Amino acid sequence: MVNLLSRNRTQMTRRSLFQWLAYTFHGAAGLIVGAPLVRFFLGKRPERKSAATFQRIAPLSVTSTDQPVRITVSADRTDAFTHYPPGPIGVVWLVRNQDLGGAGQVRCFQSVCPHLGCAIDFASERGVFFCPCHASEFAPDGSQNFGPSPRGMDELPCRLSEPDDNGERWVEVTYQEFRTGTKEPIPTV
Amino acid sequence: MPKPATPQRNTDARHGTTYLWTTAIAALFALLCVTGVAMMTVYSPSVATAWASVFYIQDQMTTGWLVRGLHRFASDGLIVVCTGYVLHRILTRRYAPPRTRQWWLALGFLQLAMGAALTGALLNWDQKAYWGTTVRVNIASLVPVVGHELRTLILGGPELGQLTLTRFFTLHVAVLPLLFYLALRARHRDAAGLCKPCGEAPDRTRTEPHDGRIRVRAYRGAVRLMVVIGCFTAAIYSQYAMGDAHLHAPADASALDYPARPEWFNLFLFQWLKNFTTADAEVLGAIIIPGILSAMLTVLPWCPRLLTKRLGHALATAFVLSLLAATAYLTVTAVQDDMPPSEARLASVREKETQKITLTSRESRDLHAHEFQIKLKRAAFEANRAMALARLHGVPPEGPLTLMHSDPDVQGPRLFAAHCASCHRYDGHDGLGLTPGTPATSSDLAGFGTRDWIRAFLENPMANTHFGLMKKPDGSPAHTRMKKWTNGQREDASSDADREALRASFDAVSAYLADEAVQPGRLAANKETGDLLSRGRAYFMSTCNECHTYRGEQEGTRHAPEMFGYGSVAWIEGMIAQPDHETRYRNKGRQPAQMPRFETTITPEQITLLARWLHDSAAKSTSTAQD
Repeated sequence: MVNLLSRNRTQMTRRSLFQWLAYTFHGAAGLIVGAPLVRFFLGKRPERKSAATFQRIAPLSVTSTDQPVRITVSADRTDAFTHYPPGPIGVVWLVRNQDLGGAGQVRCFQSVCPHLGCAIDFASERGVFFCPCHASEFAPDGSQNFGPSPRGMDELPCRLSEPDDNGERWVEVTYQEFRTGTKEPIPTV
Repeated sequence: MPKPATPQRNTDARHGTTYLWTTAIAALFALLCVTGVAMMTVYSPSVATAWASVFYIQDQMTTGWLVRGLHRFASDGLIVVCTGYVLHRILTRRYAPPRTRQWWLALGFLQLAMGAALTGALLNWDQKAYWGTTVRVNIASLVPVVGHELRTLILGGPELGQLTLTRFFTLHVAVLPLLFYLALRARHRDAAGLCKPCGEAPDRTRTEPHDGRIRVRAYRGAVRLMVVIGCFTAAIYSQYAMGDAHLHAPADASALDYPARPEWFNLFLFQWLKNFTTADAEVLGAIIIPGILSAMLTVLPWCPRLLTKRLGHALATAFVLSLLAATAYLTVTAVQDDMPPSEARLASVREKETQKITLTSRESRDLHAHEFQIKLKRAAFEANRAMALARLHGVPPEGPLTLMHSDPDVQGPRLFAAHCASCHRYDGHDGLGLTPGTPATSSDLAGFGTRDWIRAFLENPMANTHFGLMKKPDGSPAHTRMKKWTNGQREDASSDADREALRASFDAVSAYLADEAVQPGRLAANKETGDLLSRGRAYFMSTCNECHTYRGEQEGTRHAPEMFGYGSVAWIEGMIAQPDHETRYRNKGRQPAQMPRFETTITPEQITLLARWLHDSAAKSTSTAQD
């Protein structure tokens, strides 16, 4: 390279020509292997995720006004080349408001901490949500008390079903996960 | 023409003790390669088998623990030695041109050593690996603009899973060792090349034999050998001093209570990041400042050239030393922050909290540390339990989580904490070791159904560990009939002999009921033999049976819970599923059941796990007490 640039460019010697040709062919060879490799690591993979729809996760009677309850959400999922039958895909917190009057009496929060993705636990000793990794603390309504989290706990769409045959109402939730470290919740998928 | 002795001395001066460091690096690298390849013959990088295969190496194979331990401690040692090497280069001014490349290689060694340790950590596929990697990758995703794409590239998909494991495996066993080897080779060549300007002539041109040279070589060879032996011994000694390389419970994304902390060499970053508590600041603390510092380390060789030589060296040395001091300080404070507070201090902080006084950051740190330590103990228990289960049953093809999810000792306390601890306690805590903020309103179920528990109940049914905390909706004490009955019995016993007889009867019936918990109905069929249990049985049938049914039958008319198999798994299951059932506390009468039905709340499997844990842990506590 240095040779080529230092010389007068209008005078191409045989040697410099061959050098250029060599670079070109090496580059082409690299491209033939490199391009598929880039795609190999960065390209999209076939995704088989259950559509994000409301699914029943727990009967209303599970929830309590005393303290949030944690519910493991089950669904089938694909991890790379393995398709798993329905099993745990995530954990959510159900919080029931004191008043049982209007709609939205139960709220559902993602247990993944919006900060760096640790699991938010309920610190029953102090009555707050608490992420043990970096000490983000959230009020029982999901809002942030303090700590490094960029936002409050991620709330998931949640509704109550009509009473079933046993008179039980069910909590239905659309399960989602969100990017960590952003101010606004952005779904990961 | 220079004198032959001069360049020789120069070479010595140039080499100094650098070769000791690189020898140690090469020795540890070789040890890592050998033990690593040995483990590769067993390890299986899939989410279902990774933990199981590491467990197999660690626990089942002869000297597997030793090979894995050597690998682990050699890896720690490599990071220490690489740091020492970087430091050595700064202190002996071996970083400026013409040794720029050598300096970069030294930094490269350190980076590669840490990279290998971090990728290797995930291969265990245990809780520490899972949560640690989650956080590390999410920190990487803070990189401006391409952060999310970077995260996807590292993880191989939207979340931590199979492809993350195979990617880390490839990095750990192929890419990083290869780069490390190339770096070592480049350093070796550079070192050889740097000798040339000294004017040392190649061997063959020498006309006279040079004894000094040979002596130096022999001396160095001996020292090198000692360094190698020293490194290996240190790795073995670490294993002896610090115990086996730990294997935590298998990775479980649904277990929210794992107290994650970074690897020891990342603790300083963890502590550092505590100072950045907003999203924008976090990018600054996690990416930008470390990036600038790394860049400064990289361009350090030009520092003496930009300033005067002496000032430049002084500045560069001060910079590296202060970085090291800050790292050490942060690491120590990170460990200190997690140290458990003293009992007295904890009590005073709790007192402040109940009075709703705002806590200082130090005080809330104490509370966090207290919770952290409890969770750490729990995590250690689960790690041991996972190993015990794997030893006992073997790991099924679906993976080790199946074992963990169907084990009463693992799931029981979790379920208790989640569903029972808002009213009940287990030995004063919530099953997992924490004390709920809201006071208990019902019995303490540790040892439920054991002889001691029942005997204490008969002594004082209204003790806080039994019925004492239960209140009717109007606030008056609930379940007082048992208390009335025991009081009545005591009043009836007028003489000392009667009182002694009553005590003996209570002892006997406690022993008998504790036996019902273990083998329901065993004594019902037996003839009276006069021993403690059958005396208890006789007392039960003659006295207790007036209120308490036995297989649905009773002498009297008043109602109290069924005692057949009281405290057994089936009895507890029934109690959890339908506390208001006819055979339990009923939903009518003067003192209806206050406990909600759990049959709709948790699955039958979960009820069984909970009941089995309550029953088995009680049985275990009795057997240890008797031993």
